[in-house]
Amino acid sequence: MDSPFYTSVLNWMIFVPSIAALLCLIVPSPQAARYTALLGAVVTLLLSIVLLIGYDFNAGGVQFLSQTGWIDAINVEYRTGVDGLSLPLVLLTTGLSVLIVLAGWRIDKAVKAYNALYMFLLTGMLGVFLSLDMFLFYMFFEVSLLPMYFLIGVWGGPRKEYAAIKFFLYTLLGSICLLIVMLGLYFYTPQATNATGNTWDMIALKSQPVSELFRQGGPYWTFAQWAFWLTLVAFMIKLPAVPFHTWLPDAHVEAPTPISMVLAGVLLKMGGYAMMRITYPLFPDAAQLFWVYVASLGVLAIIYGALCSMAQVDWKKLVAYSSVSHMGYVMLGLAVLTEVGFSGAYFQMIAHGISSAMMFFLVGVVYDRAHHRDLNRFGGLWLKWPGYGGWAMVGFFAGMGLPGLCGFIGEIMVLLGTFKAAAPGGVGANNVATVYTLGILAASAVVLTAGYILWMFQRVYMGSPKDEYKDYAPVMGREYFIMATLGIAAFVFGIVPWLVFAITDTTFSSLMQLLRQGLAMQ
Amino acid sequence: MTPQTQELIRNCLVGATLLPLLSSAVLILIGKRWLGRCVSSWGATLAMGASMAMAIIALAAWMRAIHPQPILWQKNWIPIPGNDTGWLHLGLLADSLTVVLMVMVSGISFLVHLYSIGYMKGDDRFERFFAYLSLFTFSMLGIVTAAGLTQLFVMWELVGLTSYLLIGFWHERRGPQLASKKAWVMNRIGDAGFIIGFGILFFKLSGNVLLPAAQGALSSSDSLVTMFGAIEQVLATESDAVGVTYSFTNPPLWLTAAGIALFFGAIGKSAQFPLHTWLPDAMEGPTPVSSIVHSATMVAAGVYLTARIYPILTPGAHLFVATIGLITLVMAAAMAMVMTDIKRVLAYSTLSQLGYMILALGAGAYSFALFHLVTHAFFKCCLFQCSGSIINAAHHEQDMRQYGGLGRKLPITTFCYFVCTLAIAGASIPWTVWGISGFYSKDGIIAGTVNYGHAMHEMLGIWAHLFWLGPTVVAYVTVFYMARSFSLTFLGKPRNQDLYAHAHEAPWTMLLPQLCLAAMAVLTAPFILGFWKDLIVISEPQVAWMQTAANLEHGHAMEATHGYLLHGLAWIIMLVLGIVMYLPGMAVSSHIVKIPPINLLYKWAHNKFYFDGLYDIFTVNLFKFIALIAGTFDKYIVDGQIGTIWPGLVNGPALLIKKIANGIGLFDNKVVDGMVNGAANAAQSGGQLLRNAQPGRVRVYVLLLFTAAALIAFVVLTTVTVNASQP
Amino acid sequence: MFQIGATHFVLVSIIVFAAGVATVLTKRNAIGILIGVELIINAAAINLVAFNRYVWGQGEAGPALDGQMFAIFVIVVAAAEAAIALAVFLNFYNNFSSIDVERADELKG
Repeated sequence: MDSPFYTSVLNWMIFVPSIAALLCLIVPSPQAARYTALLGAVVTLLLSIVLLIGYDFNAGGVQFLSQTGWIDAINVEYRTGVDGLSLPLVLLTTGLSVLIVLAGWRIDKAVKAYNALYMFLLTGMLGVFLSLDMFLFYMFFEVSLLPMYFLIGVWGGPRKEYAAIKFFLYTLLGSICLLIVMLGLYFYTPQATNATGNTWDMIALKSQPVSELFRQGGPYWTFAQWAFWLTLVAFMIKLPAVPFHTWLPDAHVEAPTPISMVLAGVLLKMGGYAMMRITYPLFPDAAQLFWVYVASLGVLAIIYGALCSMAQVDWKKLVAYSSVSHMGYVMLGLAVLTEVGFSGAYFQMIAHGISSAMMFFLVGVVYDRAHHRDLNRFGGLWLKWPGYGGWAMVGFFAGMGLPGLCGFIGEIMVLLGTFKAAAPGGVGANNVATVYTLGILAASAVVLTAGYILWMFQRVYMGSPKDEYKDYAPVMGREYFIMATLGIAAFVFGIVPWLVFAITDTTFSSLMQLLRQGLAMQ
Repeated sequence: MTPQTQELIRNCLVGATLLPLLSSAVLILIGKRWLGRCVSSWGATLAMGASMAMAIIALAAWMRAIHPQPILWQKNWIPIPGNDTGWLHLGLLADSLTVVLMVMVSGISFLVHLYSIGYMKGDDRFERFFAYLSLFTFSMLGIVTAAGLTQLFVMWELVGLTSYLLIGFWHERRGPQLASKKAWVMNRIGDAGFIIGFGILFFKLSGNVLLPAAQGALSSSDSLVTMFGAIEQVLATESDAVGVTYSFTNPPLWLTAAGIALFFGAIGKSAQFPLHTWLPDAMEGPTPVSSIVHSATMVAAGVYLTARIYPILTPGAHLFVATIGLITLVMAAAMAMVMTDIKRVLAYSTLSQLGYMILALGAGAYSFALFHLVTHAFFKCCLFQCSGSIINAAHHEQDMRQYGGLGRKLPITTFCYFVCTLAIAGASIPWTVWGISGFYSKDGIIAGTVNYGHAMHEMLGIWAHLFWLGPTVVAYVTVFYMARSFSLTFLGKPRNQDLYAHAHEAPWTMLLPQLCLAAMAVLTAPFILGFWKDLIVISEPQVAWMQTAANLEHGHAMEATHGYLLHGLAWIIMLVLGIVMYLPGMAVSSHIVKIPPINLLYKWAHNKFYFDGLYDIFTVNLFKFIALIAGTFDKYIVDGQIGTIWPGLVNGPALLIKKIANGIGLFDNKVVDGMVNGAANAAQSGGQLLRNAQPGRVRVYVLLLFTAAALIAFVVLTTVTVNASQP
Repeated sequence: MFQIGATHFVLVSIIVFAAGVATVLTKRNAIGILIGVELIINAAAINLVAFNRYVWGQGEAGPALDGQMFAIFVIVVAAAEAAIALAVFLNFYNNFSSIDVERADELKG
């Protein structure tokens, strides 16, 4: 653990993609740029596997911590580390990245810039998950926006400029909310930490006695309530949750396939991750006070997203709205403040990372050939490409929450966690009727989910192949590789869910302890 | 029970469950490419046979064992942090019910596999069909062996998936597309209820969602492990807290709610009212699929679930279950009488028989409900296979009006169909207690409902009589519609000469399963009856309040109630009536429907049965009328037709939700998104306004500059007092 | 005769300044505007010299020359500025074939 190699693994992970990005720009040919990006992604993946091997599952806590002064004037430090909360998401990011580079293999507009920007994006994403200094976190949070803006705005569809600017501005609005809270935290903390002065350290912020400041009865209780909502809104935009979701369908529809994959697969997870990393641990009492509202927003997102999804005729929009619905489970699972709900919400993020990336890729494979996404014009694709149809079934049914595939675990745990909130000691113990209502509504959404997925499946895959399919190129080995990898991952996580929980368990139990203290005080 | 026996049973059951999964996986992966049609189909069939053999070994071992004890074997699956149990488990609970149903499911599945080899011959996706069929069987076996609600739910959903795949197997056509989607979506409605019930029990019982084992089962210390014991414990704690003594007779609301919510799952899977409409539509699937869906797997799952949660159902939940069963039973029977598609007749018949089972469970006739489940599985599977053979012979014509006289061309199928008609009719030798399978099971169910009706009399008044009146009357109706279908198909003159001329008996792979099932239909009763008491009746969950309601010792129920089927004469009368009435095809009945009934009755009675004409008015026409109403009710009120004023209970909400979804989509686009764009537009128009001050011409700028300077100077000079004193 | 004082110089300066402003505002020819600017600058220079003479430079340490120094600087800067301005006009002429400033509204926002 103490060897210089281990302490620098994280930094290598963050900056290898950046190096690859620069190399992408200077290599002689577009093909070389593709291979450079692939190499960068693979090396990052290998580094993250090294991280997994080196990670001590039983110890929990922050590991691989590396820190050094950065902007001394305002106490900003370059502080990175990995714990149970971030490690699975890091692995998801690096794993998906390789597939996403492959998925973009056929993009032939400004190839060097495309790959460079994607690699730069990877730096931003990993930085978000790995940084433990709030300023650094914020910086990476913003850094990940910029490449995304160009990736949508340059390589996107007909309304790419609109979608890109909407995405950028909307997320920026969230960042401002976050910035306000960060400054508040920074200036309020010295009271409790006379010796150290102001700090951006996320670990220090949630430890005693700093956290006492923001609890009920603490001197900054009012600020904490505001801060809770501000950070929540910041991350709800990223998640995205109703009513802050409208950027998502536009961005997805316009983005090229690999960028949709990374957007749904990783970028949305930043929202959920940041809620777990910042909103809930720092303001546990406020979370407890407002749980009903947050949970209601979650349920609203689940149902509303599903209904919207049902109304779409654009295939990609349907999948995009399904993301809104699925991310509602994350909100709900967090809001009810039970261990099951929290774990379920986390698993839902991983599962959605796999299934939504797969769904977008499945749409992309067809779009590349048909050049339209009108659901009513398809039909019979299953018979046209039986192998592709089989993987499509895996992908979409994983999204639908079929047991044995990854989508099920998160959903069922969140639902059980919701009911569990009514148990003694839970947030809803005195408000059982509310818990039941939320649980029943959320559970009923499985019907809607089945409705839109099956309806879509019928319209696209069932039936006899149409004449216009004759000219379509066959599905390639590269595409099968991506589908199969994601499909197998969906199976693996659906069948052995404790692969994730083995990593997160210790971290979550300490997190829940923090939240429980809030509960116990009431 | 020695540990060796336990281990043997456990290994056999696990093996029997997993073998179909293995064969299915192999077929999906390499079936088409490497194995080919012959190896795939026979491999899957043999695997299923091996699975059946293992199930039979387990059953034999169970029966040989002295004081067999339920076996509980769990594997951790989903970790549940912060909960008492710590995990959601997958695992096996083997008790007498499990071992019996394992044999039934695997046995019937084996025969259906065999049948499919002949029936599906020539289909493009032949290998894939066997893969789905094996997967379907696996998921049903998984339900039967499930130790807890977790595994049950997982397999429950897999049944939904595989039924979707199988019903929609010929998805090139529109019918199967819609039917498969409908089947799964309606099942999901039930599943939502299941999840709710699961959730309630999960948090009330601190995560202990093991199914209550059959009674007599786990020793008292172990009983806390199961759901039943856990609920008793929770009730005791809550009683202390609230000050009211809770028990199963005086339950808290959540217990009733949980029971009903879980039962909703069964409503979906077993196609009970009001979620029953998918089942007739599911006829769009290949006939082997119908034969397995309607007998051993999918619809049986709902009954099985209800039987498993039977001990934790409260009186209120029991009443709910019984009422649902009753409605389904009557409605479906009435509809079965007016259908002309042979598979639809059988489908409605299945609904009706499932209604029997559900009603019986609600009414407390636990062991007879399960008995009927087993007997029904054999004869209904056989009936569907026969119908498949007929359809095969008739070149996919399913309308019975085109049949007639097929008995001469298809002797073996005719024989099987007739035997099963007798079995479903509950045929017996008059004035004795000897009959074939349906007789015993249905009789026991009616006995149970009579007792339940009496027990409910206090609470429901005269309505309580419906609980026994319904099943008794439907017992007659059942015979009638089965006789009708038999008569229309096999007897009388050929109504379509072309079809008749080309009809031929099916290959042996289809006939052999039919014969086996027919034999089972005859034999199950006497064969099983002997050890049924040892296996199921004595292990019936002892529900204290239910015993008082049943008011009878279970072993005596059968002997005591044979009178209700009119000493075995009724079935003969209805059978003959049905057969004779439809000998000339639909000619007779179509007149009954169209022409005022008296004329027709006269003519008809004059020809054949003059003496019981009056009886006919009140049976045939009344039933037809009721059936018409029920059919219309089902078509227009429950299911709904698009374009009519009332969109229907099923299609209506679907339509409504679609409309709401469209509306919300619009709302989202215009209002929610509009606000976002509005803010951007406001900023833009503000900029537009200010832009006018920037003409771009140097002199204007200079003018502005000097004007501003002058203004400032003016303001400064008039307001600031300059201190004039010189330094 | 009355004593010539700071007021008279300031008056002259105001007149020159006003003439300059008027020129800048009314002339459409760029050269005319340049002349106007020169007038404004020279008005400032007059002020500098005058105030040095009457207000600032009469300290006990003898007459100071700060104002005069500034005035020289102003002249130098004005020369440089005129050079640059002429270069601008040349470019302006190249682009618009005229030195009418009304023709140029590229700054329009």
